[in-house]
Amino acid sequence: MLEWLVDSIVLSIFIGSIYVLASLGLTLTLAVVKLPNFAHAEFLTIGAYTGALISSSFPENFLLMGVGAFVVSGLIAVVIHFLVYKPMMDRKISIYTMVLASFAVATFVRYGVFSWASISNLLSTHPSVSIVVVGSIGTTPITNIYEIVVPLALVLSAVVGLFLTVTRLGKSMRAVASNFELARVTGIRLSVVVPFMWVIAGGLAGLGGVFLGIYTAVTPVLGSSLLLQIFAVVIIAGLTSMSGTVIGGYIVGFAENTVMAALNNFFGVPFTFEPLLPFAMILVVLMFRPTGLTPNMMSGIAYARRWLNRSKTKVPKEGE
Amino acid sequence: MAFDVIGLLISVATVYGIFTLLSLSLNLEYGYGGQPNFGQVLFYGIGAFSAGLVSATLLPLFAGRAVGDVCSIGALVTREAISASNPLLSVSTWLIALVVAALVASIFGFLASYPALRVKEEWYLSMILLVGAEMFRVIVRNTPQFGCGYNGLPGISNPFGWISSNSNSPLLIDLSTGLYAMAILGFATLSYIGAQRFANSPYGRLLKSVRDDRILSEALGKDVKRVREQIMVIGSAMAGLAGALYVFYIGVSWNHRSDRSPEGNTDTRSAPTTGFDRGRLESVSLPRLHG
Repeated sequence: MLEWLVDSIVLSIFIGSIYVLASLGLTLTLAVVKLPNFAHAEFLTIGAYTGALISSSFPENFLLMGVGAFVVSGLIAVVIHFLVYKPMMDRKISIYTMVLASFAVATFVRYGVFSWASISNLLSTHPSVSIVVVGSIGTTPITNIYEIVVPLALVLSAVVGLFLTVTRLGKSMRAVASNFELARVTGIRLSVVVPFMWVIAGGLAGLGGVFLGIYTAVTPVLGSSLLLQIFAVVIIAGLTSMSGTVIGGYIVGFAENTVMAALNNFFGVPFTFEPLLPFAMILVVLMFRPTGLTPNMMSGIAYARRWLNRSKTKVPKEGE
Repeated sequence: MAFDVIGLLISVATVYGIFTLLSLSLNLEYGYGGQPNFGQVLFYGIGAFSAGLVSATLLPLFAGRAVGDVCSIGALVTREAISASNPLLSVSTWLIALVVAALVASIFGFLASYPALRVKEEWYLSMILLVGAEMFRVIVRNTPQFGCGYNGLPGISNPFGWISSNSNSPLLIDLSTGLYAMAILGFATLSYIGAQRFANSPYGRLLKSVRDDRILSEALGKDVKRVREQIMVIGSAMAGLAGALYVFYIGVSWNHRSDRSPEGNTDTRSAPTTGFDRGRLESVSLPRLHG
């Protein structure tokens, strides 16, 4: 009876994890350099192709595929930063023009990959890794890819969170995020912090791309087809919240799979309407709550904590 | 003929005219009105679809035939035969379709201005319109009632196609497509002159003041929200007109990327989900004339 529910929940967690990997970098970009980077999804494509190429020489080597994709996508992100975004930011160009430039970068990279893939006859390819069923929940099979991706997404978001709060570089990154000019005045070296941010942003997306490529197929539009979904995650997270992105990734994953499966089951809505759910979320969030949904959850927790501690803190009365 | 120079020039002129119209519409919205818009393709697509549907419905209706299912092959053959044999009907349906397309697009422009003008930051607005365009693509593609879903609505003929319908003479074919290109260039010229006059009129100055400083314009007693709504309506109507002209040029209203895109070659589930003509959107977004 409820097979579709278990099925779709398992799938939601998987897709949500990939969204988390893909979106963390965009959140970081938005926080640190304030750029809605529409070329972000291309890092997924680059990562997926890198993974596929590595797997053709070293099949079944997930570690090498992941590290290779991280490094290559990260490096390409840095190259794009130095070639396009940095010269434009130095001239203080308006955000609209920057967004257009990122669109142009996305198109350039996408069709660059297209040309290369067309010549190498790789327009649609599969990485040579075997997908093994390692267990099951009810009748829903759990594969080895699933077992890698879900913990990886959670661990990596924890690592990024730790990096931002514990290390010196991460702290300076947050300083740049909260006040660009002040950070520069206090002597934080932007020439180190910003490129490093791009390595993380591109690398995480590339890593997400590897697993997305294993799950679907590696094509030049692998990333760009998910661009607006990734933006949905980030917008739900309120654009700059890292913990919000982790929650937002799963919200979009569940909306696209579990909610969609429910709609299909109860109302017969065809699955082809699936992208409408994250798109509608973008509209609703931007219109009614542009600060995002998840920060409010966080402030809800803070509020609850304050309420629990209310007797311990003594509020000074007027005239005391 | 090894290389059809005249045909090439004609198609370049046609596409040039359509893009001029589309860019002018965006230029009015962003260049003069200061409204960032990545979703102009939404109104372009709406214009294209409504023109296709209007033409496919009205042609058999005016010729006294049953309309039936516009997506069927029979209907396609009927409407192509009608437009090839009846010049008056062909041209008048085309003109009606253009008017309807501009009207429908402007209505949607008004509707879209409601959420779009109530967001906080500049790029949110463009994001909302971009998402709107994507939603339109998903809905139209998966709903056969509008424009025949995935397959599109074929057989929307060139309104001057009757010139060359009974012969294979390349001269007559060039004449019919050339006339259509002239018509498009005429529309583009008219809208260019219109946009220039519009921008230099008192209303154009109001528009520029709204672009440069909304708060100041409001303080001077101008209804900023109203002005921004109006400019979106005008811009959307122009984009819808461009879309309608494009449909009569390529002969089919569909919601795929253009035929020049190589993405048709990759048969994966992700290929169709890329932007509805986003390539066109990108090339249109650049020009900015200053008033």
